[in-house]
Amino acid sequence: MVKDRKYDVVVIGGGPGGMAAAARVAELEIKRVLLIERDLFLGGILPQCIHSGFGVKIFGKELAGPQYCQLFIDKIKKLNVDIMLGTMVLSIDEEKNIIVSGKINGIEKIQTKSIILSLGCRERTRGQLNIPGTRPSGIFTAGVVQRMVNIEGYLPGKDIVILGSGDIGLIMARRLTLEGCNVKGVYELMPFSTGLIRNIAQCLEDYDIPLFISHTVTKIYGNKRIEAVRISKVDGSLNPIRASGKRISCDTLLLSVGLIPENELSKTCGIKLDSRTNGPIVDENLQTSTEGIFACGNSLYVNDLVDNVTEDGYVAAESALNYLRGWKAKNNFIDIKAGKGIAYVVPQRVSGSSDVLFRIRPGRPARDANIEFSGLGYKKKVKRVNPGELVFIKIKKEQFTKAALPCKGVIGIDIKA
Amino acid sequence: MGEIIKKNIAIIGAGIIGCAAARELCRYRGSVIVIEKEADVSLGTTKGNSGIIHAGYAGDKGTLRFKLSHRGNVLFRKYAPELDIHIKNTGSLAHVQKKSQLSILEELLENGKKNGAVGLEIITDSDTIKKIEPNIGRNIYASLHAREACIISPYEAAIALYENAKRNLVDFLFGSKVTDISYDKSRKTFFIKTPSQTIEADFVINAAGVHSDDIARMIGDKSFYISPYRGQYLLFDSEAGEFVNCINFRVSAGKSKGITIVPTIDGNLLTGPNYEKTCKDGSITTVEGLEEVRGKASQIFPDLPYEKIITSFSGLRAISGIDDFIISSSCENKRFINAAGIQSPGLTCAFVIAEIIIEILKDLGAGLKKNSKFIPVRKKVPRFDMANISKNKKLFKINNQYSNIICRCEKVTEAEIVGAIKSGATTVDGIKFRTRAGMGRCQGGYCRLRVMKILSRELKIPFEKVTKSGKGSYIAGDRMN
Repeated sequence: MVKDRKYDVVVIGGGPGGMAAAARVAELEIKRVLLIERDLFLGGILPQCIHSGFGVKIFGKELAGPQYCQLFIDKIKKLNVDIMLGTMVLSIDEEKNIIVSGKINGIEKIQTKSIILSLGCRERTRGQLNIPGTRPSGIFTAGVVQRMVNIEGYLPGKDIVILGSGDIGLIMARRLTLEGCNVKGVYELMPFSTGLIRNIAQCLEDYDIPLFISHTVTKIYGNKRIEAVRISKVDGSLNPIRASGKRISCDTLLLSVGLIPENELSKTCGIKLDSRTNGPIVDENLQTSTEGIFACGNSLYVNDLVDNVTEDGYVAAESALNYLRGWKAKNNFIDIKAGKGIAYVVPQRVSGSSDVLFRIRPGRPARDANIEFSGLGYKKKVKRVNPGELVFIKIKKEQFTKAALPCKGVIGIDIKA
Repeated sequence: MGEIIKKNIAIIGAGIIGCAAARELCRYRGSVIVIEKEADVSLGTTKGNSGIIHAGYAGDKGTLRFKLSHRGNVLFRKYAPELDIHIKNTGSLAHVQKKSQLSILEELLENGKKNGAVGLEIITDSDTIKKIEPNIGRNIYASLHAREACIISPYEAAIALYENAKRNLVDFLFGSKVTDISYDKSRKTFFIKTPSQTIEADFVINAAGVHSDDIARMIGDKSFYISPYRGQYLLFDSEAGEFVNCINFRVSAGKSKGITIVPTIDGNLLTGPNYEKTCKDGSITTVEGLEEVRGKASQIFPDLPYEKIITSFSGLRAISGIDDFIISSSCENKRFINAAGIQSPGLTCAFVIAEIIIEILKDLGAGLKKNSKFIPVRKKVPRFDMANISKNKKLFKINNQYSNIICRCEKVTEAEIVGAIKSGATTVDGIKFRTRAGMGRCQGGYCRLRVMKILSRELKIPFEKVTKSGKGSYIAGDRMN
């Protein structure tokens, strides 16, 4: 299937970001494009997301994950894109040589002029939370259970406790309830939910599943299989209040406590990462600190909606084509600083010579807030912000030139309530 | 009554001691069986351990723990290569923070010399200490450097011994908890009962870890008791693996060797254990215990990268009333040999303890005759090696499963997982301990279901029958219609 080991663009990761990027490159120009995916099918996480709510922005209608995914698979198959499935990328060197390993072709070296990284993310685990107690079976991250239920066709257990109100946890609360499991509650450490507001309504409220904010799991019981958890309220500094603890029996604990962009591969080729996003530092063209390597999808930052991932894939694709045309990035970037009330901002640096779409992750909920760009003299009023939903703000390039950059190459962004 | 199995020697417990004894017995003719309540080897005290092969200077003079430790070190280094046990000679540093504690190090050094340890040296020059451990705190007064200390993986060692013993025809009964032992004086035979078998044996070796006193009680031996003491650990991502270069001890006046900060043989960073009394199923982690570990470790390494913790775990020490190893015939029946109270440095001493057990058996007239068919060599399934692409290409030509990476964090291939199943793994944890699949930063998020599918396929059992670590630890629930 793979005719040539030399490419113009190699896209790593066959999820929505990578599929969009590969398709867009092939749509726009005749280039040698390769899409590499470690699973045996394309789509990344989409095939296991059988709920609807995908595609409103891109297709103008609500689709289920597998439908959204299939539209892209069909498109790619018609285009001139080579696809390697069941293939893991091991490393990328400075000359953009890619070493891959797969069951069909073994270990191979692939040469390319540019690379688009769309590596996805992984789930935070119990170990990282350091939940004390025993180490029985029956403790899963929500995404693993989603795959187990929707792809493999098995339930994780019967009596379910969910820790964390991330979107996958909320979706699985509903899914497991529909399959006859008893979801005893969703417990969230923070004083607010971290999921999309619509998911709280559609997945919990509609099914009478209780959400307990400012609560966490403080102990795990059971030697072979989990038998119970201890749930405690937390105080203002997120420390458990001992006296509030109560034992809740369950045979399954689902964790939906955050996603971490996967960038082990980015590190192999020395790409600089942002400690806030855990993804590469990029400019408005989604180019990383290494020329000719671009990033999109959840390995760049964790997205709320697949439509946004697709759009970032398009941006990365167009930037890669620009790069192949010989366009060079400036080296005197303006740094973007995530200030008050903000968890992170992408891009982390901008050239100031083109329009920029800022993706801003609020650090905490706020009402009637101002998003202020210091140094640009730009302010935007927003009715409410919520950590579960990214704020998108587009700044025209004229705005950068007008400001004449009194900010000495740094623009700070703050959310002020 | 169940099945009746007749053997010369029965070993109770498949931890590092039971496995080492089984393997040592392979040098002699005679039939051996190992009886284990868990689904695999190494699931008791052996599992939760610092993985250190000590240099041989610690412990109270006059104790077996002290006397055996240097010979243990020598034997471990001698046998590790033929058993393909990955061992690394990192050396160790024992640190004190006050001038008044220097005498502790001097005593340890003298003790080590008497025991035959070489390469011991007290370093008081902070630049020299910094050269060995650049990340060490400024408040170290002196350190005892011991060149012979090594790191290994305790479960890898137990697995290697198990595989080699099995190859030399030792039988292993897993998931078989011993419920009763009786003795027929006229036939000089023990009858060891499990829920589904009766094992008849001429000799019994009790290597049951924290349960060894309960096993001894079954023949009326009340001469010792075991108090379990828990030790909790924090494990860091391999990105923190080079934070330390050798084994570091924070010397404390108390019973244990104090908190250690060690690189693991698999490239992670490990710190622990604390020391707290508990019960026999007390292998849990607690907020207080992990805080204690952090606090003590930070005293000598103030900049430990706590944000890189990937998991925590705990282990038990089987501590006897005399605070020493008990390796001798039972007072109730000479043909019943206790190998009990095997606390630190028990891992280091595994081979020498096995030798002592053989000597006792010989003295008892067990008629151990050399086994000319003994195969000393065990080879593990080759690891997919990130550093050696051409080696991996060769492996792929032999078996294309070598290019199918199942665990993305630790780069474990399908071939290694299938190999582990062929050499005895039956559970997800069994795969994890043999191949490292699921031990990395995502803690099995990516590979667990994939590993379950391979187990299901290779063992020809339904997916939902695959367990984490044996009976009761099911992973998947009901199949959906």
